[in-house]
Amino acid sequence: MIIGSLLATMALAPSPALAERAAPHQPATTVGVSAREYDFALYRATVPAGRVTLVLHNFGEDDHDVQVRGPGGYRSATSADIEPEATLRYGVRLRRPGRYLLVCTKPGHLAAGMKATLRVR
Amino acid sequence: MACYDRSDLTRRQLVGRSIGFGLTVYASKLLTADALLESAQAQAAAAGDAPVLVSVFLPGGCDLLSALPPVEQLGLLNDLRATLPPGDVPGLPGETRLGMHPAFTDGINGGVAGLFAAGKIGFLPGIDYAPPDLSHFHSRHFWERGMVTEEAGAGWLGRWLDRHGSGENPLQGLTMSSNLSPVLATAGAPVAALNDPDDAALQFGGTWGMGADKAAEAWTRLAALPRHGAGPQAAGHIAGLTQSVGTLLAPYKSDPKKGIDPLASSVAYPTGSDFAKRLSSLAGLIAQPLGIRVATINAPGDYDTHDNQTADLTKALAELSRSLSAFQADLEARGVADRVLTFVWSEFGRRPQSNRSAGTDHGAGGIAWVQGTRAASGILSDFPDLGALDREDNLAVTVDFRRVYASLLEQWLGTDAAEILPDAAAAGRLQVVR
Amino acid sequence: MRGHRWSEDHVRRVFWRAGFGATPREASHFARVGKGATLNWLLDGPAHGPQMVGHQPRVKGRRLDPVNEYGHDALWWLDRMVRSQRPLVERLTLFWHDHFATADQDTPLMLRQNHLMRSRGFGSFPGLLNGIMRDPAMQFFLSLADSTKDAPNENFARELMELFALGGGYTETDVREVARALTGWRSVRHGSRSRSIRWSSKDHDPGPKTIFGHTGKYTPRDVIELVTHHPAHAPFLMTKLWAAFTNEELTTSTRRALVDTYRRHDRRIKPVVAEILRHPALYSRLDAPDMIKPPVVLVAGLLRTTGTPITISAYTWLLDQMGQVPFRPPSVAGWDGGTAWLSTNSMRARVTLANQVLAWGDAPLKVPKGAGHLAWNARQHVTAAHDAVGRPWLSAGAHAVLVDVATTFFDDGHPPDRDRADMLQKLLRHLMISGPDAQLH
Repeated sequence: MIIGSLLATMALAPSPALAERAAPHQPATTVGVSAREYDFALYRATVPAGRVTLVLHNFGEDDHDVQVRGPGGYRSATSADIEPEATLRYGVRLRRPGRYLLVCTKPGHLAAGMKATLRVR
Repeated sequence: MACYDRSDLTRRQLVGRSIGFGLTVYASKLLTADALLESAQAQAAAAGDAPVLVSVFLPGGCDLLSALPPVEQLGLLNDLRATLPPGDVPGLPGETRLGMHPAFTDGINGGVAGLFAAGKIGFLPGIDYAPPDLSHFHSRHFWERGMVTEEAGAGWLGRWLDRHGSGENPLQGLTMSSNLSPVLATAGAPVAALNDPDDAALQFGGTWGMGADKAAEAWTRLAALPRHGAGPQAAGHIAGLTQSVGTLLAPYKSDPKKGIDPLASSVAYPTGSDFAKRLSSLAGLIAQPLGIRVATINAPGDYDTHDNQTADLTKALAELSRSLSAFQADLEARGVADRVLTFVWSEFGRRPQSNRSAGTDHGAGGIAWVQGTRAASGILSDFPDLGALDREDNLAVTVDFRRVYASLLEQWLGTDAAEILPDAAAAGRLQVVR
Repeated sequence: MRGHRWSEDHVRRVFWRAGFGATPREASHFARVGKGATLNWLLDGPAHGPQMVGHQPRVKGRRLDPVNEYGHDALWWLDRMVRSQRPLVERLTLFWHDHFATADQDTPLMLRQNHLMRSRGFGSFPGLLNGIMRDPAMQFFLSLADSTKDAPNENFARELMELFALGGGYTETDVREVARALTGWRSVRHGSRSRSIRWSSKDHDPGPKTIFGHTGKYTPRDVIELVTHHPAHAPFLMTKLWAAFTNEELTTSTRRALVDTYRRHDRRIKPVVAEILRHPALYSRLDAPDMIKPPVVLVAGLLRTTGTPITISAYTWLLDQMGQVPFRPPSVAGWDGGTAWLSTNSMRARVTLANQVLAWGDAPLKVPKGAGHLAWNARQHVTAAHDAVGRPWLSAGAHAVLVDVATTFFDDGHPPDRDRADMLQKLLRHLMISGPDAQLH
């Protein structure tokens, strides 16, 4: 079983968001996300503007990744690959209210429907 | 996704309350660390060339017709698999009249296909038992037990250890996983499950020096206390074995800071594969004087391909081919290949007719193979005829798994199959070793 | 009149089997109030007062987020087992989670299924089964969603009979016909949220089906009735429930009595569980527990009986190494229990658990500096350690070994010092919660 090693990795790897020197009084909002072929599902639909930690778990059988696209041409960096059964914590800073799109940048995945909308208020 | 089944499963109802660890004698004569090491090494040295059988399980029911498609019946296969066309099928090397899954060429030395071409693999198409049972849990249980019975009890290799193994060395029967494979469940002989040889020592936090010695000594005594009943005896027995495993493996612990890894391999295993990492550890352990005789490991991947079969099976077989070819090369590089035979199996085959979700449902007539420098090579059983399906539209069973087990016991482990398998005489034999 | 007395040993037995152990205070309290009141408390809960007691769990100083933080779902449930005043409800929920094992689904769906099992686990079994059949996590796991009349999927139908309700007494034809009767659910997406399911009449096969020799235009609801009225059903379920609470043999007459109770109460679970908890077999050999604690019960029990809150996330990977992470069963057949819980690897993880809680956990399990006293004699060292870890069961033999350890601990030629008195406390407490006896309940 791989769960143990993944959880261990999870615990050790600092999220990019936490590594930032952002205001410590406003903790990041965590959003659970499931990824599978070809679908993202968000466990939280709306978050306050600021730091957001996406906790993505790959329930599928192929590798996936995530990029966040938002208002004003905002584009996050693309995350590392998430292997099947793996969990990745990915931190972003979403400053402006509005609709943000999570997409998988693997070839063909977005076209197949692998996207989800996160609202920032 | 279909039935979720990647780990060692036995339906609980079948296993019932599992087996008793009847051999209390063992617990009462727990050995000290030094004596244990000596004993295991003496045992290993006395039988330095003792054969080792490695069992690799492909959970879910691997599809024979995708793994080794019959080239002369491709038209028929195409008709049956409307939602799952076989596509271009490379030929299996040699005069086999069979194709092979393209993923079988993945890996060093040409992967599984390369091993077959080199005469190191004997395929067993159509392996199963009749009449077939299409439940994962029933079928697995039968294969694990080595008999078609719903009764709980020791596994077929566990029974072999009970009869021919040591009363002291848990590493003689080793599952490379968190939990012991039911194949290795014994009535009394010590066996072990191991995740990582580097992480085997029993430690008692907060104790050091003399305190740590006292802790180990106390643990030994607690484990050896007399107990009654299956649960309490298992608790004491396993407590003792856990300590033994730590002691036996202590000399092989790696130290990355000092660049020391006593089990390091000279062969490049595929990266990012936990299965490959475990096989690498296993090859390293087999090459040490630890007295390993039978080992089991589960392959990753979803062989229960009710849907999305093309992609899932390609992925699973590719990792399998890459890992097994590295394992074989490693055993050869370590000079132990002539005493290791690998047996790859799955609990059943799949239905010739594809289903509507681009997959196949549970069927009969599966696939297994023997692998090694001393494995009988070629196609060792009749390929089931696609034109002669059974009443349930499944492939015919052309070789009973118990015939293969009996042959492995006699030809490889060198012991009478009748001691281990009921009705061994009636099972017949086929040549699995050369 | 030993056999008739209701003692602390009886309380500990039933609290372990029907929950996660008793604290010393619970043991003495419920020994005083008697068997009837104890079982009533377990079955019905406290008449008033909070449902959860003790400190809230915190990991890295933050509250748990079971939905969004991967792995917190397991900690969240573990915390309920540790602090709930309805321990039997949690234990029964764990039983159903094993019985209707589901995995690999979105966390919100898994938590929703967990709620279903918790809220309906004591009630009508057909009702629970009906809920499970319509549960999105189960439907996606066993491909019941999108099993349509044009492409029926046998996966759920087979497990419904083999694992959930019958165990045997059906044919391959029954599997196919039940699969046809269960067609009609489709998966739906709601924006960016997890998928759910909806009923679609046009995808249901309305034709006649022959199931267990009866023919009719059966619907999913009919299937639940057919299956739970099948003669194999009640004995199958009673046998499994019995084995969840005791290793004692289920005699033919007891099984018949349980089946009778089950049927008389219109297939409700609570009267059956009550009957099992009242049965003398549950209290046999109180001085020699013989069931192996499932990993979840081991961990929750250790924390609960000592009043230790969850403050570290290590429990999740420890449970994984022991072979049982809640919400992640290995297959639809659930976990293999009994002695199959124990291997050299899982035993090592059980030892590592003790290392974690004694060094990194929270009070009172964490061993403070100054825990040991030089003035104590061997028995006092052992008693102090035993009190500190919630007085778990120890066999007389194990107790003697520990007294012996304490007696000889300072015999190394050096004058005793306080650090080594602390070390002795750590060692004794460790062996009490990690040794062979600690694995049994």
